[in-house]
Amino acid sequence: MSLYVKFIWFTFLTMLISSAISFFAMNTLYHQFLKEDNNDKNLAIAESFAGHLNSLPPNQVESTLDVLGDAGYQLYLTDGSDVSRFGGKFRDETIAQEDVQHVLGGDTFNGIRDFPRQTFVTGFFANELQNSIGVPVTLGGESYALFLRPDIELLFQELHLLFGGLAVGIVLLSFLGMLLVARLLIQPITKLTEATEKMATETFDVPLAIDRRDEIGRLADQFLLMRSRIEQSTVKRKEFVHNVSHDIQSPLHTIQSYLGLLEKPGISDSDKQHYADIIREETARLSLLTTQLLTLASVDKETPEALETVALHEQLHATLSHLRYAFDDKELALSAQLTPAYTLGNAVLLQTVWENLLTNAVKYSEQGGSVDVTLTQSDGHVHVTVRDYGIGMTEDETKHAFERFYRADQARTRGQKGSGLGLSIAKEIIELHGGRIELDSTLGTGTTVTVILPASSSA
Amino acid sequence: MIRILAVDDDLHMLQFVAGELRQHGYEVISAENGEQALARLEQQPVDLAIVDVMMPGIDGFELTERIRTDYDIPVILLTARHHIEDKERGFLAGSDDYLVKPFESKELLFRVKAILRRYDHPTNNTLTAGSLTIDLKSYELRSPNGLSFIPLKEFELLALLASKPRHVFTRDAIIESVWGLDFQGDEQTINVHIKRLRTRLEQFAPDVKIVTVRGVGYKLEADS
Repeated sequence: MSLYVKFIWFTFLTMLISSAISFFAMNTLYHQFLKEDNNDKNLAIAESFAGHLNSLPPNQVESTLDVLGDAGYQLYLTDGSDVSRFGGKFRDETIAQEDVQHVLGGDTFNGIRDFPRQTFVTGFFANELQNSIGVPVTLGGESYALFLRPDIELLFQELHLLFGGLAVGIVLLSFLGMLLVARLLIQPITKLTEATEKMATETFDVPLAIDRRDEIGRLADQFLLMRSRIEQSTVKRKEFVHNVSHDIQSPLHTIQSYLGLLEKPGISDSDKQHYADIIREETARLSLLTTQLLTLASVDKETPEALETVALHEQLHATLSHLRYAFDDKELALSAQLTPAYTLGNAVLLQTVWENLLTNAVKYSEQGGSVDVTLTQSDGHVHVTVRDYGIGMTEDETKHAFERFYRADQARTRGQKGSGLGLSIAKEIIELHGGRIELDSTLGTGTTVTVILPASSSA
Repeated sequence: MIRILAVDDDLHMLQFVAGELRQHGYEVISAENGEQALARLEQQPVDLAIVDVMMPGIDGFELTERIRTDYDIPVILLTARHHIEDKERGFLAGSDDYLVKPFESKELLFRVKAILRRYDHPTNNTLTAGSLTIDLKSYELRSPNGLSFIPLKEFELLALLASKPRHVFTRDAIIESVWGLDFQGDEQTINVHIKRLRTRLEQFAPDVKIVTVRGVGYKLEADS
């Protein structure tokens, strides 16, 4: 069922139910309070009539009753057997003979007050003899019972029409208004739906002209914000996949071509060794890339989970010990000044940062060089610096160093091939921990990477 | 001869590890899973175990725990992606050492040697020279300037000189002790190492100096 249909149904049902409730309430009100007033009012009128009729000479009684009838009263005059009627007719002339006798005997009949309550009939409009006032009159010496009630039909005919028209008008206009409102509400939703459907097929440029200040306007604003974010991340993702595919493909191509060279008959041992070295280098690169990609996935996943107090001096010491092989391989010395310092973070991710930074330092150091690591604490911050005295970077390279898949000029770095992810991963992890990472590099002199993290107490 | 137990369900990896270790003079017994490894351990004493983490049945962690409880030998874990899972990290931190696949045989041998060396020096064994402390167990240098790791050969050279301060070591004695009798390099090698050590000491422990005794060799001196 569409929203339009629901709106119409809803309006219809609302009217129906509210009418029923109002009717019931008014009917109750009438029976509880109004009918007694109505009774008394009409009783006063009837008694005034009776007083007047009693004093009239017999020949004027009938014409007077006619006039009263014409003036808007339904009159029912009986002496117990004969009945004369003036003015409008009672729809139902049932009345207990006993009541008639009482009136003839000089009592009044309070039919309006005593009219029984019925659920679907308003007592006020019931055109029944039972719903009338009866008073005794004496006409020409004889006792009569005079029953009367106002002729509602005559008196309120135009009012009926007016109220009826009003009711119809209210109903019709309500429906019309509801449709209009529904349209106003539904139209932007339809637009949003269309834009959402388009987004599923990666179309992000469907214009969305919804300028409203209500909840739908906010929804539209949020939608636009979300769409532009998704668009950005989609572009990024595509770029990322493109880069990754390229980085996986190119070493594979190199490996394939060198395997081809290895299979050639009659190549020298030194060439063979050279080709094997290249193949090994390329496989190492592929392996590093996949490791880094796994780390990236865990950076996305592990957000602020698994927080613990990390003893950075211990962690750095352990990492340095573990990376000793890499240092030894390049005959690098490593000096470390580690003052005890703690931070709140994910130990696994932080270790990845140290590994990435140290691996870079090793990679870009000269054979026999050295790397300095310091850990200090001041002003509620922990500073970790990793300094190498290697080839360094140009200003431009420094600027781009944290971008995914950015690599320094390979001619200058003598074919040192990284995954191009190490520094960007480090940056992401450090920022995740509310810290920052800075790079200071001079071409030919070396590079210093500084990581600043919020400090925590050891407890 | 030193006997090493290698455990990995990947046969290529197992053959690679066993082959490399055998080539460098270790005796290797191999097992393809945890049950086999435990059975092999019951049959003969082993000096070191190299255990792959990801194995069906008894995995590397469980096997390491059992080896720890029943035998007092060091364990090196082999792992494919070491910094992903917390459980794994905790374990790796507690193991004697770990290796991340893929690794080169050089790295494997380096770690095996380092771990055996550590187990050879069960108590703290240090040398001091001036402000410098040389830790023979962990192969670390300490000074008021902090902590330093230097390449193994340089460390051994420094440790040799520091073992007898002011004693002059001849170049031949140094070569024999640090590089071994079958040293293939030239005279230049020792010069390079001495030069590097001097630079490093200047930074790290400036009161300790390597003095050249012309025509004879080198000695270590510390300002006092």
